Amino acid sequence: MTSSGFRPGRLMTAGLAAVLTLAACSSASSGTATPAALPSAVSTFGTANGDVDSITWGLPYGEPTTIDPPNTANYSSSLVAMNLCEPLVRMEADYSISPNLATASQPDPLTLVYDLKPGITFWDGAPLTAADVVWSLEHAAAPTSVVSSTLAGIASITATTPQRVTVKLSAPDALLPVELATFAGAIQQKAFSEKAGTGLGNAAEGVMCTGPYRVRSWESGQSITLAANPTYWDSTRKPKVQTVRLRFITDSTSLAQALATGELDGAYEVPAAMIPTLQKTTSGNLVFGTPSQLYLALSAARSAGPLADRDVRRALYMSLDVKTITQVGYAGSATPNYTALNKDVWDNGAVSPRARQLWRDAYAGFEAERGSYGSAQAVTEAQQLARSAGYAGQPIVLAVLAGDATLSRTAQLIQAQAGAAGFDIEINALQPMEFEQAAVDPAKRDGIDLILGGGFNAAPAPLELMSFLALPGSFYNYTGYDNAEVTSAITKARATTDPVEQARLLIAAQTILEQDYSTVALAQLGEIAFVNKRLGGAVTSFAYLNMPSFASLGSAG
Amino acid sequence: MTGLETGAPVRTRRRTLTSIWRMSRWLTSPLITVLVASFVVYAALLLAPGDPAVQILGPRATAEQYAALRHSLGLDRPMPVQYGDWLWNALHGDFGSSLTYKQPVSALLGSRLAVTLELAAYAGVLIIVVGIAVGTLGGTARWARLPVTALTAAGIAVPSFVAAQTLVAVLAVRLGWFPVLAGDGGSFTATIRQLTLPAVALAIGWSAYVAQVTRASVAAESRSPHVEAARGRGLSAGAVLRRHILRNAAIPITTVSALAVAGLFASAVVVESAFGLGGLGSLLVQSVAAKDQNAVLAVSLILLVVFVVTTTTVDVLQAALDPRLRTRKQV
Repeated sequence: MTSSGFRPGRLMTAGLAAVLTLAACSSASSGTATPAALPSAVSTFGTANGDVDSITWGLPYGEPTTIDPPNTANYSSSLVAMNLCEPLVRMEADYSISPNLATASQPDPLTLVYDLKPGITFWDGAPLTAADVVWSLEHAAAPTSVVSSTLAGIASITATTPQRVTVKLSAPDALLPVELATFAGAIQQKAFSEKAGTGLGNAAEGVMCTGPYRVRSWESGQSITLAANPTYWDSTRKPKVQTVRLRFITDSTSLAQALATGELDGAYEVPAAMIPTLQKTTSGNLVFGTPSQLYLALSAARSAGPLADRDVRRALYMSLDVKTITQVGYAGSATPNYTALNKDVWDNGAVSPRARQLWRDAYAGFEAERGSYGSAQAVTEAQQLARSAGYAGQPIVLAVLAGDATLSRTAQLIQAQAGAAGFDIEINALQPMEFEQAAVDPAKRDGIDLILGGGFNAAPAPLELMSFLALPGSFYNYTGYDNAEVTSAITKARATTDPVEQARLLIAAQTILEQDYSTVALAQLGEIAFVNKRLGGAVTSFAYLNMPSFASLGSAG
Repeated sequence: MTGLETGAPVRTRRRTLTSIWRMSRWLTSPLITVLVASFVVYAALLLAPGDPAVQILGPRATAEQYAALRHSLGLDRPMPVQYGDWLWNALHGDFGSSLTYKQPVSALLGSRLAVTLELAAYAGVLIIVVGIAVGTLGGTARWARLPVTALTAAGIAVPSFVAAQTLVAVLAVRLGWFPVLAGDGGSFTATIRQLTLPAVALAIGWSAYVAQVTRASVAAESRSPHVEAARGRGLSAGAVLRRHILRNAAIPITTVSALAVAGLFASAVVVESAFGLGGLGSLLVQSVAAKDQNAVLAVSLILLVVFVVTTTTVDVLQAALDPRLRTRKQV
C-alpha cells in the first residue's frame, strides 16, 4: 500500500531537484565563457536612417531626482535634463564645442559675450531672450546650486541687449567657457522657473526649455515619457524618435535581461559586470564609448598613516599591474592609465590639436616610466623601496564602495598584487552614503588610508581635474597636497586664453604632481552602452551626458 | 434577584461594557505600537552614518555649502526635536517633503501604493489559494504527504530574489511567456501578465509556509475523535473535510494566512527592485539609502499600520471562529 504511494513522491522530489539545479546554472553569469570579439570604442554608433515612433530606454541609476539641469547630480537626472534643455554652446560626441543657442566671443580676458540666435522659442512658444539666459546662469551660480563652484569666477551677468548677454569675470578663467557647454550652462525660461519656485525640476512642476524633447508625463516612481518637440528651432537636428519612454531599472540583472528581450531598446551606464552577459545578446549591440570622462582612481586618503611617506606610496603603485586590473574588472571596456589625470581628460575634441599633442608626448613619458609597474621585477623593487622608506607591514585600510561587484573584485586584485610586495591591505567596504561622506569630509577618513573609486569629470578639461587634485583645500585633494610651483602654474593656466600655453603650464605642473603619487587613475573607463539593433545614430561617448542624446537616434534600417 | 429571573438586562449591560473596554484596548495598543515603532525607525535612520546634504549637492561643494543646506533642511537639529516636529505635522496630515525628490511625500505615495497593493493582492490570492489547497492535499491524501513536505521545504528555503531571477531567466528571457519588466500599465490582462512573475516570486516562500501550517493542522484534525466518529457515521469525505476538519483547522490557517499577507508587504521590497516596479518597497529602499527621513517614515508608517490592522483582524477572526476565546473567564 505505502510502497506504491512513494513513487510519485520520489519522482516529484527528483524533478524538483532538477529544476532548482537548472535554475541555478542558468542564472549564473560568471563570465567564464570565452568572450565574443569585444567592440572597439567609438564616439557614435550606427547611422540614423529613418524615423522611429517610440523607444523605451533604461536608467540604471534609477529615477531622476530633478530635471533642473545645473542641479542634476546623478547620471539619470543629467541624461533626461540635457534632452530637454540646451546650453548656449553645445558639445558634440567627441567633446568639440560649437555654437548652439548663441555664438560666443571673448573681447577681453575678463569678458564673455553671447549673442543669441534669432527665432529660438521655448516649448510654450515664448521667445528666448537675454533675460532668460541671465536668470539661468545666475541660478546655476547661486550658492545653493550643485555647480556653483564651477561658476565661482563670474562677477556679473547682464543682458546688454535683448539678444546679447555679457558675462564679466572676477579673474581670467579659461575653464568657464567649457563649463558653460555642460549641464551647468543649460538655459531655462525665467518666467516659468520663477513661478515654479522650489519645485522647479521636480515631477510636478518640470522645466520650460528650448530642447528637442519635452516631458509628456512623469509618473513618479514608474516612468518618464518624453515627446519630440514639434517646434524645435534647429531644423538640422530635428529628432527622429518621436517618443522616448524612460524606465527606472536599478537591478543590473533585470537591466541585462530586459535589454536581451528587447523590452528596453537601450541604456547608458551599463555595469561592467554585465558585459559577459550582454556580449552574447543578439537583440542589439554592446558599445564602448570614447572619449570618456569616467575613470577608476586609487588615492591616498589622508596625509598621516602608513602611506605618509611618498616613497611608500610610490612603492605601492609600483606593485600594481594596471593592465590586469583593467582587464579583470572591465573586460575590454577600459584601458590602463598611468597618470593622476585620466587620458581622455586631455585627449578629446575640446582640447586644441596642438595642445593635445603636447599632452600626448608628456603622457608617453609617464607610460614609459610606469608601463612595467606590476611586473615581477617591479614588485621586488617596490618591496625594497617600501622597506627602506620605513614601511614595516602596518595594515593599510582600503575603502571601497560596497555592493558593486566590479569595484570589490578590483579591490581584491589590488590587495593581492600589493600583497606580493609585502603590503598588508585591509579592504573596508563602505555603504554608499558613508563612502560619499568619506570623499568630502576629512574627519570621516581618519581610519582610511586608501580610497578606490570611480570618478567622472563634468568638463573635458585637464585644468578642472588638476585644480581639484592639486590645489590646497580642493575637492579631490585628500592628502593636503600643497606645492607652490604647482599652484602657481595652475593659477596661471587658468588665466591664459592661449590653449597651447595653458597646456605647457599644466604639463609642467603635472610633472611635479605625478611624483607625489598621492593619486593615480588606474584605468580610463569607457562609457558602456547597449543599443538595440533596430536603432542607429547613438552617441556613445561620455559626452552624451551633456548632449540631447536621444535626438540623434533613429532607425538603423 | 439574579439575572436569570429578571431576564437579560444586567448580563447584557456588563457584557457591553466589557466589549467596549476590550475594543478600546484593541485600539490603544496598536496606536502605542505605531508610535514607539515610528520613533525607533526615526532614531535608527538619523543615527545611521551618511549626510543627505552630500547626496543632494554632490562631491564638489564646500563644507560651508553642505552646512548651509543641512541647516535649511533642519537636519542640524537634535534628533528628538526633529522627531517631535515630524510627529506634530504628521498628526495634522502633513508628512513633509522628500529630500531626494523635492516634492511632498504624499505626492510620491499615490501611484506607488497602488502598485504595491496590486502586487500584494495578486500575491496574497496566490498564497492563500495555493497554500491552503496544497496544504489540505498534503494533510488528507496519503500519497501527497511526502511531495508536499519536500515542496514546502524547498519553497521556504528559496529566497525571493533567487526565485525572481530564476523565474525571469526561464519564463521571460528563454521562453518569452512573460515580460521581464513589470509596471508598464495597460489593460487589466496586461497588468496581470506583467505582475505574474513578481507575484509568484513573492508568493513562493509565504505560500510554502501557509501550506506547511495547513498540512499540519489538517493532518492533526483528521486524526481527531470527532472526525473518526463522523466517518464512522457514514458522512462523505467531502462533508467530513468541510464541516469537521477545515472548520477546526481554520484558526491556525487563518492566522498564518493573515500574517503572510502582512509580511509580504515587507518582502515586496526585494521583488519590486528586481522587476523594476515602482512600489512602496523600492521607495523604502531608495529612501533609506538616501536617508530621506520623511519618505522612510511615511512608508514605514504605512507598513506599521498594515501589520497592526492585520494582527488586530486576526485577533477578531480568531474570536469569531473560536467561541472559547470570546469570554476570558470561560477559557
